[in-house]
Amino acid sequence: MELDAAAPVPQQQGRTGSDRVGSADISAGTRDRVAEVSALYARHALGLIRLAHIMLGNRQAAEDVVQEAFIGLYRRWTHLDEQAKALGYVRSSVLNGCRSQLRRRPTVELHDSDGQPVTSAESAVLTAEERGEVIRALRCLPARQREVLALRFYLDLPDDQIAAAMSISRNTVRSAARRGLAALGRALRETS
Amino acid sequence: MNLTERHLRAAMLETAEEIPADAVPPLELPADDLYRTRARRPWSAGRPARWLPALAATAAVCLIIGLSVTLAGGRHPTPPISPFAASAIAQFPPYYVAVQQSPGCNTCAQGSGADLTNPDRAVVVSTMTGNTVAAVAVPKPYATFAFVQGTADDRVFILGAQRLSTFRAPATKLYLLRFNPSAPAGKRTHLTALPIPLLPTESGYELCWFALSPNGLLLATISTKAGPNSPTKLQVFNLVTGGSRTWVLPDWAGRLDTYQDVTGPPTWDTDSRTLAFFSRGTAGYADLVLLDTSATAASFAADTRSVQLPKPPGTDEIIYGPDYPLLTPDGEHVIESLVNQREAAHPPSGPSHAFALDIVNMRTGAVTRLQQHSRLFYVLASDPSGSAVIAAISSLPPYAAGIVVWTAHGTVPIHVPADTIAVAW
Repeated sequence: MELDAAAPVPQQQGRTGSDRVGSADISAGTRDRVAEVSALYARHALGLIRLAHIMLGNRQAAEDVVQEAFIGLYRRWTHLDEQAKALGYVRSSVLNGCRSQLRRRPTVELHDSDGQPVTSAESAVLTAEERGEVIRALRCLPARQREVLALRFYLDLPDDQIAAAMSISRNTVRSAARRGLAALGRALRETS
Repeated sequence: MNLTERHLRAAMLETAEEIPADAVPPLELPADDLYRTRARRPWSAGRPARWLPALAATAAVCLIIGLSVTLAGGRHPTPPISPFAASAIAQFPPYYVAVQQSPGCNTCAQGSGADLTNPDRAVVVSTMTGNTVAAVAVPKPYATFAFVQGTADDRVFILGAQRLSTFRAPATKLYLLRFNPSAPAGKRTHLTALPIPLLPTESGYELCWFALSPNGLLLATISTKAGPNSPTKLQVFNLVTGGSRTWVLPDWAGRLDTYQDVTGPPTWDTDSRTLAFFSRGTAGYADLVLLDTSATAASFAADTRSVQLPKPPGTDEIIYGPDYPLLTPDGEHVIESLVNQREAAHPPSGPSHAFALDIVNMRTGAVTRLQQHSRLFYVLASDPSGSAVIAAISSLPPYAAGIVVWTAHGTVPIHVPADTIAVAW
């Protein structure tokens, strides 16, 4: 699943950075940069926030991580080797941001962060309790395994894109996925 | 796609839907960056900078901490070690190398600087006490140590340093780390770049594994390339002569992590000449494939021989593993770890012990189960006969992930520095 498919373009609400300053105050290059980053945000923010939410179990933290990632992208825009690959950059930034959030978070939150059942169209597939168990087990995995599984099974990214997003080799991606699935399967069997 | 994968996918999709599509907050770009082209107001000459008191206070605190550490000899109190633990740990080399990821590193997210930096470091740690006795920074322009491997002793290690890049395959440089525990502090380690001509990243090949032979003379590397007609290559470099040999690996060995072709990366035999792989066995379990790196045929098929491994008794269906072979220093045993479907699904009584560690005697075919565990683990090192191993146990909170020594008589934890992402003996 590509982010484009998962993330319909949201209507911009409130003021964006380009709204905040008058066009006479900033250079044309900065204006272009604001426009490019804002367009990218409009297309991909939803998918990335959802990805961060899966990792963190906290909507506010997920939104903050994605916001920070796009600010980082904005600051680095002129240094990018290929601006067409900005999505890859911001995806990596979101993963790093999630990792930082989790490092700062007490362990107990991993257990308490997601326990509320939510009904959805797919509730026939998994009960809310089962879903909570799966997500809790996912969040208990080591960071690398958790990220590989999220990128593979939520975003449907191929291994080479996962490797690029995480700056690891494809074999490491496959290894982390295999070990993550093994640990996940084991954890789920223990809780069932 | 198996049941776990289907459940995982469904759970993630449902969790993602907790964020409604119309609830994305607006992007708030920082105003200070937008105004960057404006001249900044200089500090007025007569007014003290507001950050000076804070800086002075910080410097004072650092000075006090530094003095305290100096007066205490820079040592952390070591918890007492029981005689049993001491004897178990003493079977292994006294020092190991750990790669530490810098805590809280999120410079990629901040987007500062020209490179994506991740200032990892490698530390030499006492196996017995867990005290860090030396540290090595990643040489510039590299940003991280991505691999670490040890040799038969605890004085020579190999570190793989990488640049981090979102847009390119990471370039890797191999370094030899020599450690001298009797040298003065600050001079205990010596890092030397290895003149190993790895396959260039421009060729599309990427280093995915390496290992130094126990005698420290041969370095084996495996490089992979995406796409069809891109065989996985095994290279063995002679660190003395600079010569190298290359084998094109068969499909089963190239797919190092597939579920069906159960194989992992190879490991060196203690003779420093033979590389050992696992492959799916002709009898449905596993074969130990031994490559003679000194053979002259230079074809993988011609230079290898296979040893059929007996299926461990009491196993039903092997889900994962054996992963990678670990040959004991006495050359007689191979250590394998596996996940047993029957024990995982139908524990006979009490907690399930689906993860098993078996020692196979290659002469007699006898299989001894050294350990069963309810959590996934990886074997890192073995004593000469395989009767004690060091294993890394993958854990879930509230248990801390741990490195332990397993013997037939008990388990002993090994102290590992915080933020460790890789270790090697």
